Amino acid sequence: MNPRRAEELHSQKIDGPLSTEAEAELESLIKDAACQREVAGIIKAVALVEGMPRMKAPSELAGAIQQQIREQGSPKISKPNWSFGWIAAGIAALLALAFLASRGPAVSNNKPELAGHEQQNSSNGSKSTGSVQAKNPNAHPDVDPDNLATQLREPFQMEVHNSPNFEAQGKTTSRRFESGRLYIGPRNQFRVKAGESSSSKDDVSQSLPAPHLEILAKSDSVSGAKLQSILANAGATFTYSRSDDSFTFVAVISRNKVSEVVEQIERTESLELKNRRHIPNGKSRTPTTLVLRLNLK
Amino acid sequence: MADKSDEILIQQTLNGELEAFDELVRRYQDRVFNLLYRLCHNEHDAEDLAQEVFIKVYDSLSEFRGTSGFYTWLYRVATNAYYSYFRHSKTRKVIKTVPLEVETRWVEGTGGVPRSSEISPDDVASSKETFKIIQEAIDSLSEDYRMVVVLRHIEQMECQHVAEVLEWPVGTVKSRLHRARNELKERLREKLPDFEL
Repeated sequence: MNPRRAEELHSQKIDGPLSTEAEAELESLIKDAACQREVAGIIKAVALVEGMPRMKAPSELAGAIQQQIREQGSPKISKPNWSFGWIAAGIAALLALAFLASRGPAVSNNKPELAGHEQQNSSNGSKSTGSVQAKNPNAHPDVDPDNLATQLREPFQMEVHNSPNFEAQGKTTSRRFESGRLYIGPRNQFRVKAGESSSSKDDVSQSLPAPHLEILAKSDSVSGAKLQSILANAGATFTYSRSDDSFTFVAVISRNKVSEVVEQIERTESLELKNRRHIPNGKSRTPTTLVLRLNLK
Repeated sequence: MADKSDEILIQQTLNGELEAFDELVRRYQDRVFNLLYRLCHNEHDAEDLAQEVFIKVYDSLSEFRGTSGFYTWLYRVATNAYYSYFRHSKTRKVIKTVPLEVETRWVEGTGGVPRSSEISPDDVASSKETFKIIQEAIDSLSEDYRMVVVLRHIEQMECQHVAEVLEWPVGTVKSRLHRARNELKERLREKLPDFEL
C-alpha cells in the first residue's frame, strides 16, 4: 500500500470533492493500517489548527489608527502617471492639426466669439466662411470679415466640405447628416467609408460603437461657440471644422471630463441630448480623443 | 454606519468622512490582528503590523479598484506586510513572546474552543499548552507554508480565495497546502503526546 498516495488523495479531498475514481482509490487505500494512520494524522492536525482560538485585536489598536489618520488628514488621492497618455494624445492632436493644415490653415482655438456669426450664417443657410460671406449675397451685412470667429470658420469651409471625419484622409465626399444633430464620441467612431451615406439616423447610430452621444439641436440659431466654451471649460484641446450644415470638433480630453461635457451639453437649452451610450465615467484621467459633430438645423 | 457596505464606507472615506474608515477598522481589526498574530506569533509585532496595514490601506484607498472584495484586498496588504516583516526579521533577532494571558483573549464562540465556564483550570492549562505546541508547529513551517495554513485553516478561506489574496495559482496553493499539512502532522506527532489517540 502507499501511505503517501493516501495522504495526497485525502489532502485533495479537504480542498474539494474527489473524482469517483480517486474516491474509490482512497477508500481502498485506507483499508491498510499504515495509510489509515497517515490520513488520520492529517485529519487530526487540521482539526487542531482549525481549533485554535481567534485573537481579538488589542483595544488600543483602533484608537491608534484613528489618531494617526486624523493627524494625516484625508486619504491621499493617487496621481497616476498619465504623461505617456497625454504625449500620445498630444501627438494625435498634432497629427490632426497637421492634416488640417495640409488642407488649409488649421485652427485650435477656444474662443467663443464664433457665436454671433454662426447664428447669422446658420439662419441664412449659407456656408459660414468669411470669404464666402463677403461674396455671398445672402450673407449678413454686419459680418465682420476680420473677426476672429469668421477666420476660424474659413479654412474648414474651403477644405473640408461637409466632412464628417478627419480620418478619411482626403476621401471625404459631400454627405448630409440629419439636421440638427450633434455626435460626441471617439474619432474612429465617426469614420464613414467613401461613398457611404450617413444621412439616416439609424445608419449613423449603427456605425458608432459605444461610447457616443447623440444630441439634437433645438433651434436654427445653434452655434459651435457654446460647444467651444464647454470644451474649453473641461480643459480639452481641440480643433474643429465647419461646413454648411455641420461642425466637427476633434478634442483631446481626460476621460473623467467627458461626463462633465455631457452634463453641460444637457444643461444647454439649445441642445438636446439623445441616445447616450457607454460614455466613460469614473475618475480616470486617461486622455481620450473625442469627435463632436454638430449638425445645424 | 455599521450597516453600510464596505464600498459605501470606502467612498465616504474618500470624501473625507474619517468616521467611515473608523468603521472599516472596527469591522476588520480582529481578523487582521488574528491573521498577523498567527503568522508572526508576537503580539506587539502583530499590533504594529496591523496598524501599518490599516494606515497603508487608508493611504492607498483611492487605488482600490473593487475588482476583488475589500476584504481580499485588505488581506493582500496584510500578507504583504507580513512578508516584508518576515524578511526583516531574518536579519535581526526576534524574541518571540507568547504571553499566556494573550491566549485567553479569545473571541467568544469561535475557534471551537470551549467556553470558560465549561472547562476546569486544569483543562485551561492543558489547552494553553496544546495551543502553544500547535502554534510552534505552525511557526516551524516555512513562510509560504505557514501562510497557506493560516489563511486556509485558521482564517477558513477557500483555496480560490487564498489564491486571490496571495496572487498565486490555485494549484500552487493546493500543493503547498498538501505539503504543509504533512509537515504539521509530523511536527505535532512529535510534540503532542496524545496525537495518535
